[in-house]
Amino acid sequence: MIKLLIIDDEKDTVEHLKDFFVSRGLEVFTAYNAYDGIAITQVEKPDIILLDIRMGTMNGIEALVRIKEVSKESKVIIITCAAEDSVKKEAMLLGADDYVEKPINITYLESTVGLEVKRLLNTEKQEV
Amino acid sequence: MNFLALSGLVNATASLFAGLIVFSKNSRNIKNQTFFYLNLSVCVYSIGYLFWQLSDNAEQALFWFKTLTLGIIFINVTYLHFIFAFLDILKDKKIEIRIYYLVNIVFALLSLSSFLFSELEPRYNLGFWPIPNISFHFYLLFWSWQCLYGFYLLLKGLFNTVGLKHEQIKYFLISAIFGFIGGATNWPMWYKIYFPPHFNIFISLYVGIVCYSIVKYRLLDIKLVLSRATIFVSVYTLVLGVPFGIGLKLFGVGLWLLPVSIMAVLATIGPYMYIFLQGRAENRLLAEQKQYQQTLQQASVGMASIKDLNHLLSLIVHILTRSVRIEYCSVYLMDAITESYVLSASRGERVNKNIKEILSNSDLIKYIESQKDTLVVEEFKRKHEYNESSASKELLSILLELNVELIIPLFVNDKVLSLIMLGKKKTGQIYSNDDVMVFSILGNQAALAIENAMFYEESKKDLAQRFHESRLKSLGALGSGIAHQMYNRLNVISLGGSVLLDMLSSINKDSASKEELLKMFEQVQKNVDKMTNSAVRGTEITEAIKNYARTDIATQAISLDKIIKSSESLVRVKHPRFEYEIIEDYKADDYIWANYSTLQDVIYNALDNSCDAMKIKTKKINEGDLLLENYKPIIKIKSEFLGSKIKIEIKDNGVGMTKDELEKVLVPFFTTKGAQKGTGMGMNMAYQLLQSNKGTLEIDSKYNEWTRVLIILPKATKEQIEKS
Repeated sequence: MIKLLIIDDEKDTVEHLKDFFVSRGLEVFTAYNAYDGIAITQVEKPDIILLDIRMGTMNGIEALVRIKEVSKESKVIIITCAAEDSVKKEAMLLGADDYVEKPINITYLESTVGLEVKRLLNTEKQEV
Repeated sequence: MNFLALSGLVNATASLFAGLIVFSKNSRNIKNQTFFYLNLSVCVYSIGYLFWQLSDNAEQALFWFKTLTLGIIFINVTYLHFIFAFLDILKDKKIEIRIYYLVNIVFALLSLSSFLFSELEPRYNLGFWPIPNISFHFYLLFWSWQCLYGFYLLLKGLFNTVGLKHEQIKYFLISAIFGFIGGATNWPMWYKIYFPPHFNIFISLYVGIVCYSIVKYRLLDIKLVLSRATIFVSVYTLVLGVPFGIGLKLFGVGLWLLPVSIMAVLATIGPYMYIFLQGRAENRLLAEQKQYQQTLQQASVGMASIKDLNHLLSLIVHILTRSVRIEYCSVYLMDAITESYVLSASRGERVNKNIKEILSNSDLIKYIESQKDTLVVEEFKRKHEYNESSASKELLSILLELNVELIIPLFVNDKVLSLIMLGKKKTGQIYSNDDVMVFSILGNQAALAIENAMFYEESKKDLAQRFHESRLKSLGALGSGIAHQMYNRLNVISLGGSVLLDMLSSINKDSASKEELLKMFEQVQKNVDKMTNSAVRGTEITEAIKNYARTDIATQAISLDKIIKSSESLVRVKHPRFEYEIIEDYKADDYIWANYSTLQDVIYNALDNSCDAMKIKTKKINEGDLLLENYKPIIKIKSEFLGSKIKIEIKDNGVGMTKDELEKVLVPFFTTKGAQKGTGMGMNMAYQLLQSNKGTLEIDSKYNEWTRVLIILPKATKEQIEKS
């Protein structure tokens, strides 16, 4: 089963996303701050991580770097505001695999995540 | 009268005259005093000389000769005394000059008791000359020593000075050389050497040179041009000398000399007495006028220090009505926007308040601008009574309507800045020329003071302007935070909706089980709840931003509770999911008298800084830089009364500040947050703004423990609260 971790300090958003991806058959973990997120990453090694770039105590960019240190294989999709182009660029340079903009278009997010899922499934097949 | 006697008369008159002038100019200055004593001694010497030469028997001659010798002795010591004072070395020579006085007094006594010379004898048809005793030789040596010593000091002074003082010393030295040569030409005759001492008249040359250097080089700091004085002396000597000469030729030396000499002296002193008495009389007669002129002059000096424009204008009006006792007085001040002069302050019962403004293109203003002078209405009426032109008629009607006596225009750069209008004097007297002059002086001062005050007010507006700009700037800094917030709210709403739609599309309407529908129902309830909440929070954010951007500058009664709550909601926008506790320990019904946006900004800044500080501390603890268990970010807000003031204390348990940071916290553009986060104007701006609100701001802190901001502001009175 594909593991998905959602890190966002906006609780409602996290819950909505969880509902959605559970209904798509993924195993969903959630974290409301970067520290918890990193801790979960270390233990669960999620396949895909949805990471909000702006959070209270630790910002997403820093969290991204730590996540990549802890779990290189995890695909990180960052969530940013439409206006923050520079942040997007920085995040991509630091190893983010993709991004989606807020307000999130759920269909677009689904396809983005879906793309990663397909890739994962393909590599698994190849390995097999 | 022979030439020698005449030289005595001329010398006496000239030296007395010069001495008196210098003394009268500044009788308190030691230089003027000693100069006066020196000249007095010369005068005594010369009078003695005059009468000695005029004497026709040895006994009479001896009396005048002793007078003359007294003069010589005191010329020397006062000459040294003056030089000490003139060269500013008197302080170091205090003892020395006393010794000189003592020795000279001894010689004076010796002379009087006939130890220097005991008798006179006629010599070479030049009058009676003394037969010196042994002690006289010593005196002559001492005399010469004093002369040379004086010259030496003057020469030394000459080499050590430059400029004006140098010139002054030079001329005094020359004059002293002439004087002493003049005097010294008498010595040979003592020793029976035939040498008619005609150069005795050189002593007058000494006076002449001194007078010249007074005129040209302000010797003894006398600035008056005294060319008249020299003319006066010569004419005077001639006028007095001729009758003396004739009298002596006709009557010889006799008692008539006494009253005539007294007359001469009185005539010399006469003009000074006259000037003195005239001054006294004027003071007495014009005491009242002088007094209010003085008041006005003092006021005009005091005005410059007042920065508040309204206060200044009412002060001007107050001074005028009170000290001059005028029935009414008003001030019209230029308003650049409406291009008119607006009634800004007035006092007195019958002040005409109907005319609230005078347009700057009106005839009155044009007339005043063309005249550039105080307008005396009475005079204007007289001048234009028979002038039938419509312009002057119109002007007259305005003046009648204003019902004032005097209009003082205040000019700045040829533009009328303001008009001061004065009604009748309470005493019924008319305004004199002196009054008008004093008012125009006052007017000039007032113009400067008003301009200053206006400038100050302008710069205060500037502060408000800068404040607003800085708020907008920090609103800009808040901008991405706000955007993030709004996106998050919209995100929740749109996601909630999408997820619901997604669910709905996955259910077959016709074949759905009850269980499925129930689950669906729950999901709808949950999502719609979240969506509604998000919408409400979005509204709150919008509200807070709207409040923050407002720009009222008026002071008002502000509810402490309201302003703290609104500042808090703003801080929550900036630090959305940072969790901290606020302990509120203040009475909700306290009211402060301040400017709303200012105070909100100050409190917002304080809370914002607290959040930053607590975030940094949290981070430090999480990263192990600071060892602390169970850290809970807390902000305490407390208020208490301090008399008529209210003290608001905001204390957080954040990271605090180092001593260095604490010292700089009120410095403009100082920030610890980096250029992107803070403008660095926060606390400095808060400090300045609180000061303009009659409040204070204090900050103290302990590094790694806490920061406390103390704001003290005036409490709003009941009336103020009711009003707002």
